[in-house]
Amino acid sequence: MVIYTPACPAGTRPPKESKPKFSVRDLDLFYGSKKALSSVTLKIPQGQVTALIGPSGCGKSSFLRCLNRMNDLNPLARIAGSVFLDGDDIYAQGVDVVQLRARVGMVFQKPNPFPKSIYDNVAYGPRIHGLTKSRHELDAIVIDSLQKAGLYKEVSDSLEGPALRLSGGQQQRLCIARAIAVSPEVILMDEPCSALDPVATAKVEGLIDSLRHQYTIVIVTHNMQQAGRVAQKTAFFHMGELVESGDTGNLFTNPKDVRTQGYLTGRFG
Amino acid sequence: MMDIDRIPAPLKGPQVTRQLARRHRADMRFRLYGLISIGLAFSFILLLMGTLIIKGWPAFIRTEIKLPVAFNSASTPQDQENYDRLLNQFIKKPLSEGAYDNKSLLPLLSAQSYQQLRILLVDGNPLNKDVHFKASSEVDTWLKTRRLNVNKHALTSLTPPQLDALYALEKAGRLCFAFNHSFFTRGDSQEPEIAGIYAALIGSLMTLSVAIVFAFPVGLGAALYLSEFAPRNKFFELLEININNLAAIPTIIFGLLGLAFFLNILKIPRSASLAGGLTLGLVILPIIIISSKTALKTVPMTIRFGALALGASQVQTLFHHILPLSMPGILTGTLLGIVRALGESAPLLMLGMVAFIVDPPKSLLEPATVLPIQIFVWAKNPTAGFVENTSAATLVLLLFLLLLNSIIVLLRRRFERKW
Amino acid sequence: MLSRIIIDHSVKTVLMMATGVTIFITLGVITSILFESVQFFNFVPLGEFLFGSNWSPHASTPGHVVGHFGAFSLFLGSILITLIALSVAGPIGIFSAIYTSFYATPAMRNLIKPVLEMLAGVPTVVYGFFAIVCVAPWMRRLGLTVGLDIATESAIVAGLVMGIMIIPYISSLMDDVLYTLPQSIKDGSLGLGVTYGETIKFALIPAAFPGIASAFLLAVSRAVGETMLVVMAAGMSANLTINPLQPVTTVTVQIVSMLTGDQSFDSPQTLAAFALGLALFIITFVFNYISQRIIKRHQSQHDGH
Repeated sequence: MVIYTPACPAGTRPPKESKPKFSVRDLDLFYGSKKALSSVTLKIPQGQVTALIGPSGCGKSSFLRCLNRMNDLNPLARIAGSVFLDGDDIYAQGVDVVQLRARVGMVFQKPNPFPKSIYDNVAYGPRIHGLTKSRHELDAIVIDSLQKAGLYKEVSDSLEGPALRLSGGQQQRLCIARAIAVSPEVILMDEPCSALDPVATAKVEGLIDSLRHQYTIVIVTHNMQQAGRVAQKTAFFHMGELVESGDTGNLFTNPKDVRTQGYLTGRFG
Repeated sequence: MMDIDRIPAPLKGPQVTRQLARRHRADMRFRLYGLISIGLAFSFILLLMGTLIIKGWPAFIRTEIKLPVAFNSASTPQDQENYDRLLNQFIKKPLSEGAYDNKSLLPLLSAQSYQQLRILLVDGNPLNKDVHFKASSEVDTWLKTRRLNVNKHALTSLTPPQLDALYALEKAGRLCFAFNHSFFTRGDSQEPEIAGIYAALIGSLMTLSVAIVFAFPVGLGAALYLSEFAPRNKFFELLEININNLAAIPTIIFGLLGLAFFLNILKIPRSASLAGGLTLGLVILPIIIISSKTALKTVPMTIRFGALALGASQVQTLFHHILPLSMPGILTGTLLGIVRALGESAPLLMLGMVAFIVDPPKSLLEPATVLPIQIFVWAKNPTAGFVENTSAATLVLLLFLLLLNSIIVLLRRRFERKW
Repeated sequence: MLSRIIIDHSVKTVLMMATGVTIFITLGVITSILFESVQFFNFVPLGEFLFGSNWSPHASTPGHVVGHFGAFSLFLGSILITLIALSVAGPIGIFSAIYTSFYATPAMRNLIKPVLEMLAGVPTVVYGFFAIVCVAPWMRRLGLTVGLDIATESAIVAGLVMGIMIIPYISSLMDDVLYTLPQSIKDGSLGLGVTYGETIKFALIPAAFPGIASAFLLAVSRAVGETMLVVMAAGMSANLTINPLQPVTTVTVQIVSMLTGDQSFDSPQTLAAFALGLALFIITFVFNYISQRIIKRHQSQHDGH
């Protein structure tokens, strides 16, 4: 198993810290009797974008859902091994999943804004977490989140308009703004661009790049080019196993495992 | 505009832990409300069923008095008076000497006991054996109170000598309970112990038959036309909305229509099961149409295309493929309609089906009543003993509904098909 | 080949005739009620009928109107009982639906749903009897212990029992709506670190709001049109009161009371019953129609995205 070791490929900024944000050890995941992940060990660095790639059904999305315990919602799911966030095991007894998920936000494959106004979508998290004391503060968070998501200019006139009337790309950026508004430390993205057209995809990718200095980002993608464009680190999954991980540039140009080579050259996937 | 650094890191620190604990408690409460609501709904059902069963089950049994019939005379008595005298003799026999007169003992037996005796003695042969006679409703209530612990607050109108006689009879083992089969074989009566639901059952059967014979072909035909042939235009769209509305308007309005059309224009006699059945047919017609249409709609278009592509006509496709495939759904819908019609009573009130019916109707034009109306009529009767009858009749009605519903469930399970 | 065309044609004609019967019935309902009502409004002005408070129709004989036909207290009675019923069935129905669609395991759901729907399958005459024999005496005793005089026939008894009756109308329809909500809404909210209960309250229920509204409208229409239960439990006398402990009468009760017994068809009472029927028809039609529209719009919105 290859574990990522800090390195600074040309053109990317050096990470601020070498301490990993997530540290996953020997993680197994079962859905009923079916093993979806076996013995995954991976460190995810802080302040960078880590891409999880691999053919569909390889377990990359299941792995992502382990990082904020979204798999808990599936009564059949069972895990073994441990996941550390800043050194604390998130599967330990007494860990509050609600708190965890507020720290580790998530953006889904299909844009899923609530059937509410744009404003209410972004304000939803801060309101429930009681982050603000006044409407003024809430306004500030909403506008700031929308700006960071690069959506504010497009919707500033229609904050009270229904979110479902936005285009797909706008909806996805709204979902990112919604996640940012709770000021999480990590944002997990599960194929965030798979439902979008190329123009919208480019915008979301630009957004991901601009967010990585403030948040640790883990992105699942089935699109290798996308991983190459946005991610500093890449991990390749195959058949529920982590085959290889490392700097994106290294992994793409110099894969060590034959399966990685095969996938990258398009022999399967 | 706020600076990003001033946004609090949300979920860390003791204050946040307290806040989270509060939110989790709110969550628990929220979930508890759900459980409580379901518990309440369940207890309503238990209360309803419990009331009916506790009040109703004594009506299924009746008190009988075992009398030693000893008849040797060559000539059978002719009139009621002679039979009553004989009965009086028989009832006196197991009792030791006492101040019993004819007037006090005979009312212990049901008013129709002399008819039973007449049938026994009709051939004039000598007879010497114990015969069970039905007790009067006062005795029935008295014994049920004593033995079954029901009706604790019922006042008895039995006189002290009558009570003495009853105690003596009980001691002699001559009072007993038996299944009250006459509840199912007799019509309505002023006397609760002879009143039964037979006439109402027959009335329900006739009314339902009329309703189905009318509503099923019309409903199925309309559903077939609407889902397979009707052009898509404003008119049929409007009709569809209308049918949905017909299914939801109060049934009492169908009663008004039945009154205006069947009774006033077609001159069907009041209280006839024909008018009632046609009116119930109107009530269930939209149900049958809607569920049949739904069943037809679940047959995928690919089946239609497949048949049409082989050169079948639209009608052949319909009868060879679509109708057989959707028949279970259509039957289920029809059964749902029957369930609805069986329990329905409001529109029938307006057609005069509240009459006092002793004998079951012999034709569709004779006055009839149905089970729910019989329940309604008995429920309003203040005579003691009718509460039991009402509860028992209700239990019978619910049993029929349960039976029909089980058939529906079975039908659904058996023919459930995933496309 | 020709015979096939003939068969096709005649089958279609027969089916069309069946459809014609349903059209005829729809028109029949409307015209028969309208026709009689128009005659009624010839001798009783609409204003008096809707807002008059004196309801004493039984003094009239055919062609000779001496009674009063102010139906306001009837409408008020219907509204009062409906409100009581909703205040019982609303919370119970809503929370039951939330539990069955979000908390219950599939096995529990398969048990709870049919049992709740049993409540809807019980004939209303049975509820009427239940009110007479069980709820009314209990309420009366309960009232006496706290020093209230509750009439045996009262709005509160009829309303309570009707509330029990319409629980499944709310819970079942609402469960259908909640259960089919897209998983993505749930995920989106939970992914933000929102608790399950908060997700239900602030994301899922608002998303299902149109469905919930339409369930309520249907329940209201059901309650307003309910007949047997109120005939047995609410009372016959037209009381202008909003005191739930008093007997009240409703539109449906008066329709029944004026049409049972041997009335001649053109008597003012019969015509008044038809006028009340028209009012009932319009009220329930409006509720049903709005409810259907809401559902339809909601569905198209969900299909759209």
